[in-house]
Amino acid sequence: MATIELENVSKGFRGGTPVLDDITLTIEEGEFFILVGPSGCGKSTLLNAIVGLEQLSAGEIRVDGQRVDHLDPKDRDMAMVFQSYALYPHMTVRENIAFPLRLAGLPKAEIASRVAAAAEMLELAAILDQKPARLSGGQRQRVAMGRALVRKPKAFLLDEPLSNLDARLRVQTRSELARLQQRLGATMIYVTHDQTEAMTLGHRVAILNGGRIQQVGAPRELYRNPSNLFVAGFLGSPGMNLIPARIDGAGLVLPIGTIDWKSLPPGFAGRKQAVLVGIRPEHFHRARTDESPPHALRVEARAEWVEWLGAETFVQLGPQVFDLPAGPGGVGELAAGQSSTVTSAAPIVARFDGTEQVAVGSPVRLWVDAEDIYLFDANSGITLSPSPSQRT
Amino acid sequence: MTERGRAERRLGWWLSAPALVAMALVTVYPIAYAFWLSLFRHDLRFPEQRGFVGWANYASVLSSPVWWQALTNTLLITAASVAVELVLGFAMALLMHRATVGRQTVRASILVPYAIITVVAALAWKFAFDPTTGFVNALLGLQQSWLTERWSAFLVIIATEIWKTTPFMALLLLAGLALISEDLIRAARVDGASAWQRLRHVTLPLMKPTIGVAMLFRTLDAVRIFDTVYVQTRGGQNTETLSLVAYDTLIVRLNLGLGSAVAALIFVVVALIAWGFLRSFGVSLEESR
Repeated sequence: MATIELENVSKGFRGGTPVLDDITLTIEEGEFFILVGPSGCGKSTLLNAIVGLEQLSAGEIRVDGQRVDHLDPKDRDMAMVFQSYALYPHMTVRENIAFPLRLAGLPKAEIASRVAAAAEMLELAAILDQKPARLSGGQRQRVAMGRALVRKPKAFLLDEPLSNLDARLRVQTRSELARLQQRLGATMIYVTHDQTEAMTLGHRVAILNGGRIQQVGAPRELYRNPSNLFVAGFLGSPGMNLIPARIDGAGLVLPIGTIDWKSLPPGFAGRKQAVLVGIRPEHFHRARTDESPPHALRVEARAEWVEWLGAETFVQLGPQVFDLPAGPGGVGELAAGQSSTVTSAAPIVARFDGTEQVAVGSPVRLWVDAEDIYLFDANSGITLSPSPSQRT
Repeated sequence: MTERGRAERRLGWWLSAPALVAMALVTVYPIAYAFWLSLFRHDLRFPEQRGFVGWANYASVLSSPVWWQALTNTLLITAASVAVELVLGFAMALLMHRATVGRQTVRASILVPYAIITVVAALAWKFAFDPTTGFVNALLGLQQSWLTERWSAFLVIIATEIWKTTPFMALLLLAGLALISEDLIRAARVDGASAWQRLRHVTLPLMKPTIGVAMLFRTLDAVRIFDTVYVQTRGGQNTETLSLVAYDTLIVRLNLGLGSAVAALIFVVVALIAWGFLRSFGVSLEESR
């Protein structure tokens, strides 16, 4: 297993926008590292660059301190699982798994024992003599894993390995994959567009957008302390509510209420600027009485729509109550440019416990702890620092 | 079978009926008629001697050295040209598949010979190999009179065939190459395969059905070779092929009975070759997609 370092890695085509733009990363030995982002963000290209299927325009890739970016994929000793699994259709499962070992010129006995071990680990023993065409999606996925792990490579690279499975199998395979990684202590780099996979699997996650790394960190860190609007909007489902607001003499003035100075971090005192306020759906609390923490934003809204999912209830809050500005320069335009998950039409959503009963059209009284309010620069989308608190 | 199933089956037959009728008119009828003719003594120079002779025409064809010599010649031309075409065609297909710069130009230029009429190509190569005015002798600094000796006449015929039909082979193989998922090649690279190993262990096995179909098409085509030989040697220097024998008997000597027997035997040879290919290559047309 190995440490993989990327330094100022760039990839571009002549006359086009860069696919990868100055990426610097270190993936630690034994780490389950996730590259996540919307489609076209460059995550698969980055994975292909690491394994050697794409040439870099600039930068270095090092494995355990040795430069590898000039090497052919076959000389990098990394294994890859493709989204399509890329099983050789003319070979049986056994031959597929043995293929990299045969190419490496291992003795027959060694190949047989390694294939047997992989087959046992992945429960493939019963289908070793079948051709891939006869296998189910889940079996194919496991064969692809088997072909990767028999080699005992320095690192495993996985390109959306679960996206061709149905929802139920995906959840099951996801946890199997996590256990497998733990058991092997392997360095794994995993590409996905699915934030749930990123959050549940990754020791650390790198969020990419437009060929650039937006933020790298543990899932909890990214969720709690997003460095910019894109990261904040990308993680979480439903996404963070974004509301345009301004800081002025009265404090933080939102269309839905005002938070006074005392609740804001010290750095903001005296500033005047346009901001975007981010509130996660789960941070809206229902006010039954007048009780709420001392530094809270109190809101009265109308329940436009209610989705009851059993364990939780999502309530869309009526925009007319908030009087959100629409049109040029509003939250819609900025958010649309930043992320596909936030659109101008996105309503404000609050998440309650499933036991809460809310009738459509009824008024709802809510409060949000000032600690749970995120502030982003209205122009750059960067999280304003100092953030309200370093959330843990 | 349900009522609906029967109705669909009936509709299926109706829909394919026009094609079946056309096939019957243009292939089944001539084949059957030729077979019928082959059972008669029927020479247009002696029309009054017409009469049913059973298998006698076949006996005289099969006992004639001309038939066996022509068969040998034909198989020689077929084997040599198809073998070379396969190798060259594969190389061209790989080139067309991989070409990133000037893709259209590469494809178009490779396909030019196939767009040229066989007679014209045969004449062009005949001129090229002309001992005094052709460019081949000039280029090689030889004084060879190519079409006057058996081995060199064969060489010219085979070269013409190869030049003319390799693009067809390349085109068929290119279609097969395009069906191989790029991910498989990439996976093989990551698995540690060199370019040669990728070709040997991934591309070629997956191309097997396509190669089988391409070779079958070209072999059947080559067995029926006529134009090139007719234009370049007229069967001289002992280069006569099966089609030439049929032509001589049927058209030149107007012996419809004997000529039809030759034609029917060519049909048998072609059918045997096709059957052999389907058996040995495991080529089934559905599988070759």
